[in-house]
Amino acid sequence: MKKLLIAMIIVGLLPVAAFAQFPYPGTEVDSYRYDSLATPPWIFMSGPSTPNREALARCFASNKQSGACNKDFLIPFKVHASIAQWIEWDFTGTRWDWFVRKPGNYAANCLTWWISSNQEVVVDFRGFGPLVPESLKYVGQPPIDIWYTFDPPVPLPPKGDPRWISATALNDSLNWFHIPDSQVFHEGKFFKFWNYIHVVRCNSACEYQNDGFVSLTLQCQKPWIDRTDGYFKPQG
Amino acid sequence: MIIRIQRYWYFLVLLIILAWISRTYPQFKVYLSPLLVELDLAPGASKSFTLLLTNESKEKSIDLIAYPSDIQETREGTYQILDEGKSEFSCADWMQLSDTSFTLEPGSSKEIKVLIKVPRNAFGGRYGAVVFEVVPEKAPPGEKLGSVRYHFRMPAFVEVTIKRFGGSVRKAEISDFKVEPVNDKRLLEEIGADALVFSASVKNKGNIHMMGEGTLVIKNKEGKTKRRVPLGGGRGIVIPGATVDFSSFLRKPLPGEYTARAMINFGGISPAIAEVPFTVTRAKSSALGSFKGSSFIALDIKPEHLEIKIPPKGFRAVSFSFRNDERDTIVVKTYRKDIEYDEEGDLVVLDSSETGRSCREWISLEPQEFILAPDKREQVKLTLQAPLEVEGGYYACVVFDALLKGSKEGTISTPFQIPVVVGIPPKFDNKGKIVEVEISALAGRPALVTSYFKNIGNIHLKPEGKIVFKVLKEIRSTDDFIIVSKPEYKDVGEVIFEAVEQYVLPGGIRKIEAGYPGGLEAGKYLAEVTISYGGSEPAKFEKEFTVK
Repeated sequence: MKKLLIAMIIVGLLPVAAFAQFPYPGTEVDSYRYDSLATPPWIFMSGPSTPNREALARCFASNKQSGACNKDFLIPFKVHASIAQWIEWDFTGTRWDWFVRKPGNYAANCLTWWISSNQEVVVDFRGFGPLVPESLKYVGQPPIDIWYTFDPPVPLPPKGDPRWISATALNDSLNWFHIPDSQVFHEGKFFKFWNYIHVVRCNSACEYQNDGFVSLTLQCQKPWIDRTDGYFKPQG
Repeated sequence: MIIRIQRYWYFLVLLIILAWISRTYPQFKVYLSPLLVELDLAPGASKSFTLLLTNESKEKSIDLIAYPSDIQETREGTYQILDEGKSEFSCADWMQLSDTSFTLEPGSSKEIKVLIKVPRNAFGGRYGAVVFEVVPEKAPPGEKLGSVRYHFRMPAFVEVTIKRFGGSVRKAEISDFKVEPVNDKRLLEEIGADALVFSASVKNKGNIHMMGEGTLVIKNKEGKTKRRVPLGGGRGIVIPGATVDFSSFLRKPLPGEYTARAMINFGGISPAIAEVPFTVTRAKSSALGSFKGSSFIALDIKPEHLEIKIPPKGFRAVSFSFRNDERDTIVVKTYRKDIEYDEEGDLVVLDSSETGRSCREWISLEPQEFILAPDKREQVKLTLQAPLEVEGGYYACVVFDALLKGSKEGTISTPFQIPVVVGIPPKFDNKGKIVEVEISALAGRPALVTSYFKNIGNIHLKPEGKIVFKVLKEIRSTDDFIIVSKPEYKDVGEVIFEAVEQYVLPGGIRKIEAGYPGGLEAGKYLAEVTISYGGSEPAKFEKEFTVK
């Protein structure tokens, strides 16, 4: 019976040993690989509920962050009145790391945001770009291209779909994330920020990196939208 | 033995759970306030302000760096962080921070003191930000292929107006005005494919920020006004050097030819104007040619507002003085118009009014047209003859349309609009009521109260007042007793709002917004809105609401 007990303890601790032997940073997120012959083309590989040590690539996000801003500050949005503007935010990480065994296209939900505000909010991006080698000795290696998308449908859009925005294009203000004011937004809204990477054979096994800046700012000017019928009949 | 195995199983399960828990990172929350600091400072002055940061997490510490930065304003009207030294109108190098790198322990707060020193030779307006940046966690060594580090930044913006006699140049104009079909996918989903976007680009050519309120007027081929709606929304600030789009989205009108007129009011007497003709057919809609706009004209007119009290059949004469500060000759034409103020308190100039309170026809202007050479002065005489059987308030607007003699063909004249407010005693019927109150409130968050005040008297009013928030005292009934009594409320706070800037004219409705910054706890509340306006009794309105 003692042997049985010891065996059970060893079996039970196997997952612990598996995680202990490899210093994965943070929390694993769902990752997918691209197979153009499959339907749908993005195939699930590994995730927090079903971790797969044999997966060709895995993605880990770390350091959950969240915040609440401007809870008690008045911004005079009209000359004659002041509106109390507030914002609360929550991000699931300050970094993510890809562990890749083989060239290919891999996708993951790298960040989930929860934002709540009573006014328009803009999430802007600066410094986003392809992953480049960290070490000087790998200068000249081809970069690893990345694409991003917000709240993609299921199944994920295929490669080349305009919903995938290249990392460089993310810095363009046209692709910044404007969140309009609404009652739903007052109570908080989740946004999923996915990425996929394209790893080619000549990407050396060195560490590639990119530093992206994400700012959450309040929008001072916004479009006026006619939410009534809006039709008007010409006279005369 | 069975007991021993069960005990070990608990141990085993505990170990497995601990192993999994150790892989999840605790959540922490950061609070920053305020996000905008507006300062009026004299040249050579110094002032300190404080920014409060709180780590609301009970478990996780957070590393932050803080630094001053330049800012720019995008076409969408959003402030963006720029590296220091990139902006001509920056106050970043005037700011010193008490801390630039620190760790916020769980549950702790930190006040960052910012000292701002204005140089003696400064003038106009200056803009910047204090940026707080979360330092990303370092990755442990491993065989990863690639990483992206996110630098989350929270800026608190700083706007400085330098109080100096002279030196401030307030100059903004519409640099473009477009009518286009909507292409933005998200907006198409929201308002449908048959929508048009009207977008006026406002360029600030001065050295101090301007606050613009836009109005869009659509006229048909016969010149009849078909729609008058706001052009753009929000704060309307345009900082020096920036171009900001004031946009409105409307459903397409019925097929025909129209003219869209954009008017941006900057709080002075002279709005920026632009016009573009457009056509709508069943198949498509498009602009007919390019836009025409007014240009900023440095014409000084005094007085900028006229308020007269005269008896029935009374007569008054007033002089307007003009000074041309341009290098070109200005041609000025005079007009008499009617006015009203919209719900936001913005002046609306009308060709005619049906309120029965117009004094347009009582006014005469002399000369009706004149030419003013550079650096020269001129006077226009306004005479007003009131009829016999009138009393209360009467209103009009004198418009001086100015055009530079050397303007390109098609340039729109720049209007200078002077409201004329006439009070005729003896019977001033000061009467007003609150017609509606809307409350938006969620637990722990600032509440927003919007009151609608209507002038039901015969004279213009300037309402001011307060809102008192009361929470309902919960009385729990037991199984044995059912307590029947009047609900009791307890005061939890109040908000005072100052008098509105522009009059509420007889028959007019004004929207008055006030924020309660403290944040209300979940519960049932009563808002008591009291508005004083000069009448014998203030207007009152009670509204019950629930905070969830």
